Amino acid sequence: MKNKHINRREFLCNSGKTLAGAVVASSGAVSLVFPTTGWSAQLAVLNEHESKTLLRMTREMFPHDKIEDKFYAVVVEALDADAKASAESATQLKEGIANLDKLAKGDWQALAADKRGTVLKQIDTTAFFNQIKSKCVTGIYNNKDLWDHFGYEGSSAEHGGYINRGFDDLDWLPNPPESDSPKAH
Amino acid sequence: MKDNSAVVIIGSGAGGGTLANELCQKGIKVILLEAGKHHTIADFVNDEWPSFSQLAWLDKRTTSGDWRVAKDFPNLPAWICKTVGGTTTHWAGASLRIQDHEFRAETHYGNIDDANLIDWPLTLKDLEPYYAKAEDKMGVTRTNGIPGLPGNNNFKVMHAGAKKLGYKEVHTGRMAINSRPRKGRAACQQLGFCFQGCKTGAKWSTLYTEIPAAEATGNIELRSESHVLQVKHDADGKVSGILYSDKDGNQHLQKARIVCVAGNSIESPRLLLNSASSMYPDGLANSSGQVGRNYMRHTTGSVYATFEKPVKMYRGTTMAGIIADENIHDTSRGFAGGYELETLSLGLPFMAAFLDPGASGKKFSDALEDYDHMAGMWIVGEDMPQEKNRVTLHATEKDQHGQPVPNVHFDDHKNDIAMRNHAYKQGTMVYEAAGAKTVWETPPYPSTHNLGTNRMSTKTADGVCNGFGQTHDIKNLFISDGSQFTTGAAENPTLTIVTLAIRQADYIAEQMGKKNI
Ligand SMILES: Cc1cc2nc3c(=O)[nH]c(=O)nc-3n(C[C@H](O)[C@H](O)[C@H](O)COP(=O)(O)OP(=O)(O)OC[C@H]3O[C@@H](n4cnc5c(N)ncnc54)[C@H](O)[C@@H]3O)c2cc1C
Ligand code: SF4
Repeated sequence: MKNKHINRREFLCNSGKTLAGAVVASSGAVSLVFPTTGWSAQLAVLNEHESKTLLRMTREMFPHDKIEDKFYAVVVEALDADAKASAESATQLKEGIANLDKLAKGDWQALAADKRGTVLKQIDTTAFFNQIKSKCVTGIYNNKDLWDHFGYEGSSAEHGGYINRGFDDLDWLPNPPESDSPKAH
Repeated sequence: MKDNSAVVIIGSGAGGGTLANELCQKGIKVILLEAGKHHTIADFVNDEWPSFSQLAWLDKRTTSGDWRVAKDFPNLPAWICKTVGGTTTHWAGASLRIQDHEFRAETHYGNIDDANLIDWPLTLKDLEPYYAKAEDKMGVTRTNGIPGLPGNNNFKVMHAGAKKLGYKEVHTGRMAINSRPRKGRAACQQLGFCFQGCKTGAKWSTLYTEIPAAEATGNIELRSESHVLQVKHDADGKVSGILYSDKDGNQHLQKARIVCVAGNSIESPRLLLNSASSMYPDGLANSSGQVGRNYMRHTTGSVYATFEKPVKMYRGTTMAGIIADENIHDTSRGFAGGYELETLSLGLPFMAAFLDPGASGKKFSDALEDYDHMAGMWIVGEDMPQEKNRVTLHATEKDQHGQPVPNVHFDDHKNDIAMRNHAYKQGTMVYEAAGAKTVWETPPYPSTHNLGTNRMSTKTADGVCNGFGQTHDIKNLFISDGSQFTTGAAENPTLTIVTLAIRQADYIAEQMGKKNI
């Protein structure tokens, strides 16, 4: 098998701290491969150009410089799964991407960053844009592997809650008087 | 209990669960029907979306009106639960008494254009003894000698800012959450997942208080996964039973001496409307035409702010923090009625969904990047009842039982908007006083407080039921949930729902004793 690795710089946006990864196409099939993390996914519907466009779009819509591409690729994978499950969804994605390129008068990804943003603005009320947006909202912020990055600690019951683990450890403001905030019993 | 001797209660949440227990304690036989499953505390998960899928009411609903919820969440007008225990599984526990002047809104606020204001057919004085019983039952902090909860990080930020601004009444609230073990329930362990079902049982919920207490009397039959489709009546026009669908979709008729509707303010009017018959072509108890109208949801909104230093607002009790100073009626602020500011935090998944629904881009990502440096508060204030804000049956859409789904229409009243803007401004000032970097005015979430759609009234033409929740039209049909509320008042409603249920139980027992019903 001869994999065509895409230069990762092609699809990284403003990011210096991402781990190497790629959209990989081989004999028609497209995979998302992130060797250093051991994560990869085979796409069913989206082609190489489409996956790369979506990877860049998701990052531009929800830019987090320190989050590696793999996590945006998870969203692309989920969009591909939707496209596999519903023809309507597949058409919306494919047509949306074609439209994006049309507005860009060529490959949207090849535009300069500010131009890419201007074109995105033109489509930000479309169903296509909303489809990607809702996938990002869950795909990024409901991804437990990213909670640490955001400083969210998740489930606490198994740790006995925060009663002895800093529910009131904020120390940069005065403590309220006991009349307003009694001591824990 | 196949005969017609029992009181049939529909819904096991704050209203229905409490009423069931109160009646059982008096030796009255009750059949409690609940559409949702019977979960236990062990099933609860500290994870927002899975908990939502587990406990929330997800049957289809539609929306209309100018409220932003209709645009952002067109099929999710409300955040309500469908499970044994109802929304008392997800609720936060804030338990405040409605104030005297709020029970007489028309008298105190006067004529407000486009507001369908009337006074409640009862006063604070009537309710005081029942409020006391409810607070004791639920274990409300700062009542009955129960200490307040310890403030968490989120509260510290609120407190510091509020005090700088000169607010006086700022404390960790009156919460139906144990600050120390009480009545068989543990003390709060500051888990921070009050909205997902309390895994310690420190927070009051009918699931593990009222319902087991009722079961211990041997007077109750709880039927979970039993969705009531219609309330039936006899040739005299009195209700005679209900039709429900069990978990396998099989339909059953259950006879009843009395029927009490407690499905929360969307399902309760929907059920009455879906029960229309040739005798009652507009639905049951609807001679006034008010069933489904005057839908209220409190004037809400949130203020979130980011700070230089970490806050970790998600640690600890979600809503144990209040600024109560604005909960007065002072029209110099540009609106009638008052509001509270209460601490609130969402986990990262819900924050992403609710901070600014539909947003994307760098400003939004940057806010979430600062998630652990964020503090949050919720606005809860009185909204105006309006006739046009209403629950109706959808003309074409049907649910899994083949019944028309409810549409929830809501337009903000100009009083609501003025109040929300005032509260946004005050909340922003609180956080700025505490050193905020950026402040977010977050729009209302799907309604957690749903009220008024079968309201109490003195005159039969003005509402659906009397001061005991007994419908004006049918004397053995009762409304037992928040849909009874004549006006919304500024307080989180559940303490009052429980209070009314305790009082209603006394009334039903008395009327049964007198053979009036
Ligand atoms: C996240 C959140 C936080 C909240 N925090 C607070 C707070 O701090 N303080 C406060 O006062 N309130 C709070 N609330 C609101 C509070 O939960 C509700 O006011 C209260 O539970 C309403 O009681 P109810 O009896 O009207 O309805 P519910 O408690 O919603 O119970 C209604 C029950 O009826 C069942 N049902 C409906 N239709 C049918 C049918 N046809 N057949 C059979 N069963 C049916 C439902 O499944 C449900 O279980 C909060 C709510 C949420 C969602
Ligand atoms: S913070 Fe307290 S009340 Fe809330 S879920 Fe945890 S133990 Fe229960």
